[in-house]
Amino acid sequence: MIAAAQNAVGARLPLQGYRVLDITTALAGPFASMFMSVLGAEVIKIGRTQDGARAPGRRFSGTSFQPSTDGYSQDVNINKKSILLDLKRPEAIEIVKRLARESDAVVENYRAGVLDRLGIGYEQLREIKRDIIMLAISSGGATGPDRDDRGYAAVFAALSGFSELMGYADGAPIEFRGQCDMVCGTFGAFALLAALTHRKLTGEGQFIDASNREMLSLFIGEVLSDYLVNRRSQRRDGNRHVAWTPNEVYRCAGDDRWISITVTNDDQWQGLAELVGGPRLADDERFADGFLRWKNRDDLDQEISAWTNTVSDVKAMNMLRAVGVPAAPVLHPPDALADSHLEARNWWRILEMGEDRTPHIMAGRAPWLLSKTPCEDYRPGSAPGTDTDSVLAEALKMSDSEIAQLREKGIIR
Amino acid sequence: MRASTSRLEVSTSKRVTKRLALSNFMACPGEQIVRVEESSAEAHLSSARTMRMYLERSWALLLERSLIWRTAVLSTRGIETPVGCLEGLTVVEVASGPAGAFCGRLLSMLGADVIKAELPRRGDPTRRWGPFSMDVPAAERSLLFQQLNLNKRGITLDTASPDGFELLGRLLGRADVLIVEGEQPRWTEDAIDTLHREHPELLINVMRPYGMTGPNKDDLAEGLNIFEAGGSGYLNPAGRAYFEHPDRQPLNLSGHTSDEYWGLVAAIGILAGVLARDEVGGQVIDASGQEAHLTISRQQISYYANDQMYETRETYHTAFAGCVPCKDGHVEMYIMSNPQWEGLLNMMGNPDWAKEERFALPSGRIDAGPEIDERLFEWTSTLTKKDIYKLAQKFGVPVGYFATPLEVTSIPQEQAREFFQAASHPVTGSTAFPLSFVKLSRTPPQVTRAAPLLGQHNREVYASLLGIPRSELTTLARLGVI
Repeated sequence: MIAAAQNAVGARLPLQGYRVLDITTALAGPFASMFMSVLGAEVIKIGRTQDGARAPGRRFSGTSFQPSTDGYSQDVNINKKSILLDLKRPEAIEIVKRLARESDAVVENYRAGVLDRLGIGYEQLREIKRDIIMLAISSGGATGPDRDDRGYAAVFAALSGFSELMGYADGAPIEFRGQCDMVCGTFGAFALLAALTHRKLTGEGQFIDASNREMLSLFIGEVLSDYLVNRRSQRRDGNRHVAWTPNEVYRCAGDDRWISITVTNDDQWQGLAELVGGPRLADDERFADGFLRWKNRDDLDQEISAWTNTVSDVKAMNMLRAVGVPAAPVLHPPDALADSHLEARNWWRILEMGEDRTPHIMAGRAPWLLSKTPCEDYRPGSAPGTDTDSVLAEALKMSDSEIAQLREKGIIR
Repeated sequence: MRASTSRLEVSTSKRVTKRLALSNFMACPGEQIVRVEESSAEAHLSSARTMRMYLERSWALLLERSLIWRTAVLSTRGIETPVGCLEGLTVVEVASGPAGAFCGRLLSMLGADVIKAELPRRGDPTRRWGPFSMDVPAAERSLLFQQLNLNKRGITLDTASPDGFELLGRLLGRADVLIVEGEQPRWTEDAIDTLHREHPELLINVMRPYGMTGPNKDDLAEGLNIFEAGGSGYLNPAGRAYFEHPDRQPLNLSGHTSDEYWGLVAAIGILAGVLARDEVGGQVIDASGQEAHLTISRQQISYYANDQMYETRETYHTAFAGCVPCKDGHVEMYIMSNPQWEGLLNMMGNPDWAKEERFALPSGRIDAGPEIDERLFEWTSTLTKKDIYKLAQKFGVPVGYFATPLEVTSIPQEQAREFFQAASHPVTGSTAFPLSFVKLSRTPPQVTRAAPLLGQHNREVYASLLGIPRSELTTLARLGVI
């Protein structure tokens, strides 16, 4: 079912030769640097010495504390090295600076100003390395009256206007939590790669001020323009689409099984109608074109549900796809692991583990297949502090005795 | 830039710092107020209050703002004609959905020359999608199309016709990147191989819902389908929205996010290819929509696969607070740690009920979740979103309000950061869009031109760039190729 990690020996990775310092916490920051590490950059995650002592044992799921084997931490930190420093000590700050001198970029997502106070803000690092690029991801951005806001996903997603537009028309807005940090981290990675491209051409580094709120607002750009131009403040309305009806999720047979169906033209509608209600429905005047389907959408949903309720999601998908209708079941995690298409595309990888932790984790590969520079190097994220010695020795050419001294003083772990 | 630097040099004494802060303030919020007036009648009515609030906050903020920050901000502003990050990169976009268009838009905002090819006469499908400027439905008035195609040049080209495909080939001879997405170019693998052979330095980014290989490769899917196939849909909605209607269907993300997120992931793949091109040349990038979404589902799937944790819409919520209803909408309250809990109690004026021992620890509060919610909602039902938000800011509690489009467009933070900017469009006039999503200090995203009219740059591209004689262009137009 699952291919073992295939590390194509000798194949070049797209960002081979780049080094990125990761001074991040929670999710958006580590997620941004994850893109760099799967693309082949050497990502060094700088943790605090205190974190090394924290057992990876408990995880808060929202309603309770759950045991955790730390699988996700290894996933989001895929291919990253981990070093632990006591950032309250000037010697540790000195190490960060020396590492920055040997790096191309820094990714951070602490509150605006935190790194400046530690002495490793953009301007301070630029003194050491003129062309350094720093990606700073924060709740509302590094300037403006809200620059000190703490970044919790659901909170800044609400302020961005994104969440208010998501939900049932007659219900509460949806808190955008899980995927929210990931979306923002992805944006950050894009900006960082753009800055690396600029540096390659001009030799210039720069500071990237990425505001989570702005990145989320951009996704509802046309809705915001609708207000700015037409003074219309749009409201949430389920799965409604501006142009297509149906564009909806319907219940199938089974427990919490659903299928999404979209009809983008009349031909597709004919295919769907024949399947769902035969000639009676295909000829039904109420649904003859896109506008009528939209106008009579409640009746339409009833007709379609009556059919989907009787079949499994997979059967419905196969039948709909056979007649050329865009349709996909709502995928749950167990389905994802058993999906034959993903298997054929070699999506899942089993990553070999080091000692002391779980024997392996399962993780998805990079979301692109690049024909000449495949991202085929996957290792689970290092346990905190695993690479402290090797990074200091290799990147900073420190001797064993220097490293031992730093450890004795509690500056590194 | 020079002026501001010299001012910075003398700004060591406190008094001078103050003066600098004031002049800085006058320079930016002055513009901001104008924009408020332009942008919203409601905001205009409350602009006096907004301005006072802004003044108070800006004053305090600017005083404490570090010298370094001022340098960064001012130097960004001072650049007269900033160069985009991706200046010099030529992209040809043959896309018909928001996914490919958003991908191109990200590159065009950062300075790439993106040439969008649309079907002759019909144009891009999103030209027919609302909202429309002044609510007049017309191909040149779609705000969605305009927003997705800022800074691009537009040509018409039917790539399905042999003449059109040949013409595309000539254009690709001048390009670095080709974005292929949507219905129009349903090219075979052979056609893509041919393009790759003929243009070995070209990055060909192929966006198909399920990728270029595998049993589902030819299946159709739109944004909603991709999102549901991408492993996040089963968790949406959770929390309050779910409990109000637990029997209803899962929901998509806002707007066209499902498509646009795919475009964002694809853009990362393109830039990775750009960075590697000196060493390996061009390549084909297979960017699957489903896999883009599986990437934001990594956490939940990893919990299931590796940590034996399986969240559902029913379990995926905070023990209490979260989305909290109030007088005029909802606020989001994130109350997890003890300091956050204490902050909340302070906000509420330390009510007696909360003094019980069992509320003292997170675990006790988890058990008492519904009870806390009941008390909390009783309190919030008398207050507006902004009342609660202001109190929370005062007490340092992580609270945000669910902002409507009206509110987002007049939030001081976004205004101060000049998030909204106008593009001058020949048909719809000055039209405002959210713009500056990432602020790159040396190469800030810029609006250089509004979205193209259908075929607006045909002559510029075909005649000037490719040197095709005008007579030939007329013939091609008559044949419906361009």
